[in-house]
Formats: sequence, structure tokens, C-alpha cells
Amino acid sequence: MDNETLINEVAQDLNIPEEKVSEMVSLTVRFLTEKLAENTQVVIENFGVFQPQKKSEYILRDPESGERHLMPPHVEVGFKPAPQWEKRIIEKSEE
Amino acid sequence: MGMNEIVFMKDIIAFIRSKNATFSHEECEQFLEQLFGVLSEGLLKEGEVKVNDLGTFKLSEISAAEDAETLSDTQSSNVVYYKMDFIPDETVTDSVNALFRYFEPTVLKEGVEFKDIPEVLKGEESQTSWRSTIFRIETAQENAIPTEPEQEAVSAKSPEYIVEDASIPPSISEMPSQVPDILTSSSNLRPKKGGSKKRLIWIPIVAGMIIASASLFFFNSSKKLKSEVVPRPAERSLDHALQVIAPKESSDSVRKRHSTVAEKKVVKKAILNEGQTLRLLALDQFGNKEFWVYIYLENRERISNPNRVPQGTELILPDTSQYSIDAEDAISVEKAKLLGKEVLKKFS
Repeated sequence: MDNETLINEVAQDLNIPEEKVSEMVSLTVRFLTEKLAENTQVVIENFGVFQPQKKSEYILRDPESGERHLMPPHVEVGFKPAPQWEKRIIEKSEE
Repeated sequence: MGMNEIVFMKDIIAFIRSKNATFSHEECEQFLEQLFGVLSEGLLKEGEVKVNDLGTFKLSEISAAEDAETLSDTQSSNVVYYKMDFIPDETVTDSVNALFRYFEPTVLKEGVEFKDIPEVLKGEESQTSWRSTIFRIETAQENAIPTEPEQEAVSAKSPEYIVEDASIPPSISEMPSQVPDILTSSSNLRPKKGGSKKRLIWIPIVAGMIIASASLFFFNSSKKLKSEVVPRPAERSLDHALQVIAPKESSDSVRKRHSTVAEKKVVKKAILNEGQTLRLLALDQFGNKEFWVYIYLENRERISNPNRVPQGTELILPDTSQYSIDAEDAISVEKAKLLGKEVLKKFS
């Protein structure tokens, strides 16, 4: 499912213009991005949690060339699904 | 880099409304429920959903070929594994790494060692998502014809979570206990237009308790402060000034005390010379003219007017410790000066 299909389906379900849904999606994504950049977790009820996680520096070694690089620290964004996903996947596996 | 804050859907609603006031609270709430409901359905049906500028969600069934160590029992026909991934968009990755954008990989020369920094082989570092979530599902056996009660028993079994990344940060492993109520409130994917509103009752209750305890704390503190505050002295009159500073001479007990003190200490006396005033005597004896007032107080019964003290008058010199007479102490001098002014008012 791509972004356009997602917006289209939400607009149909809510019976509101696609432009409005598109704007809301953009604002939601912007909020998520800003909060993650502020090292803040974002909880979406029934869906999951977006979490930023700092990764420390490490040395990357190429076994072929023997070169070693000191890789700088960075932040990764992870997603932890809500427990409701258990039941949904069970139902999917039973189909 | 600990995670300090957690925000929820209500914060997203507030943000959306702050950017566009035409959106009502209910509209935003329904939108968010619908958005993530459609997203969840799309993920389950199609296995992949992309949200522009956010990232891609993937859900797929996996086999032992992909991860033999973790999926040890896929030989069994009634166990299925699903893996959920989230690959953040470059926009998000760049944004969260803004602080580290000036850092670049550095080539290390031979012999350069860092004891505390781990070494990873190329190809083994995490390439895609930060971590994946694996769901282990036990299904009914192939040959069995499950009856309704058996099917219910099978579906009622809750699958286990197996996390691919073994090095689970403490914050992640603690997540379910931190936000269990929020995530488990409902399993509905795509709610109806009306939508059920959830009320987080515990937040205002806890906030109310915190406010009440803080109010009690400050109330008690202010009460304590009030009782400790010393009231300002009353308006200075000559008598009051004398009571505060000069020793009392009215009671016999005080006189007895003074005489006792006098017995222990030598009473100094001086005779006023020709042309000498109380001020000049004070300057001569104590180093500052302002201490004349203590000479006057010590000799009040002999001095009718401090401005006119006859030559040859024998005067008892005040004890410096008794009156805190110290020419080098500005406070002492100022105190004497103020007292002197009060005394002179009577004679002006």
C-alpha cells in the first residue's frame, strides 16, 4: 500500500476531502519527526510506539582489506508494535 | 541519551490543531484512529505500507532459512513466525541525527586501539530497521479437523514475542510495563465513524494529587516561616531606643547586677577638661565622636544637658563590651549616631 492509497482510503472512510487528509497526514508525520528528533517517544494507541535509540560509536572492520573505520554515534528510530498485533496476526494466520 | 518524554495521540491532535485551527478536536481524533486503522489493515493484507517522509512498515511470514537460530521449531507444522519491520525514511533519520551530522567515519591506522569501543565486521552491522519484532504463532495441526471448542482453544493461546536483537536496551524491555494501558485499550483496527472516545482518567487524578501535596507542602512552609519571622521593632522613641540599646537601670536587680559587674571590672572614669565636650572625650577614649551618647547614658544623672557639660565634671566611661563600642565597626558607629540623634531631639 503506498501513501496515495492510504490517504484515499482514509478520506473515503471519513467522507472528507483527500486534500484535508493529506494535510493531516503531513502534520502527523511532521510531529513524529520533530518529537523523535527531540529524543521523545511517540505512543500511538492500539498501534505501537516510535522510539529513538542512540547507538554508540563502534569500529567497523573490513575482513577483506583489513581496513578499520571508527564509525560515529548515531540515532536509530525503532518501532515497537502494540500488543493488539498479537490477535491481529493470529486472525490473519487463520485465514 | 535517555528518553525523557513520552507523547501520545492527544499531543498529535493538539499539534495539528495548532497548525490549522479549522480542524476540530473530534475530526483530528477520528482521523488518527482511521489513519492507523487503515495502515494496520494494509499491513496485514498486503504486507507493506509506505508513509511518505515517515517510513515503511513491513509484515511478513518468515521461515527457518532466514533465521535458524531463533526459529528453532519451525519444523513443527503448527508454528508460524511473522516478522514486523519499520524502516524509517531518510527525512526522519537525518532529522534525529542532526546533532551528529558533522561526524564522519574516520580511518584508523594500524596499531590504534580503543579498548572500550566494540569492533564489528563489515556486513554484520544493522542495515535496515533498528530492531524487528517476531511473532510466534501456534496454529491448529494440518491433519486435525478442529471442532469449534478446539479452534477457540488454539486462538486463545497468546503467541510469544521474540525479539531478533538480543541486546535489548533496558528502556525497550521496560516499555510494556510503562505504557500497558495506553496500548492495550482496544484491538479495533478501523473504527466506525462515531469512534469510541478514550478517557485517560488516571492522568488528572495523579496530577490532582501532585498539586494537592505541593499545595500542602508550600502552605506548611509558609506557616513555619511566619512563625519564625521576628516582628519589626516598634517606632523608635527615646525610651524605646534606650531600652533596646542601653542597659536598664530601673530595677534593683539590674543595679545589683551592674554593681556585681563593677566589682569584677574596673570602672573607668574621666574628668572633662577645659574646652572638651562629650564628643571630644568620646573621640579620645573610643576613637569616634559618635560614642558620646554612651558617655551621656552612663552619666545621665550628672548631665542635665549633653550639649553643655561643665568643665571638671567627673564622668564614668562606659564599658565598650556592654555597649558594643567599636570605632572600626561601621554598624556600631551608625547605631551610636542614630541613638545620639534621638537623645538630642529631647534637648533641641
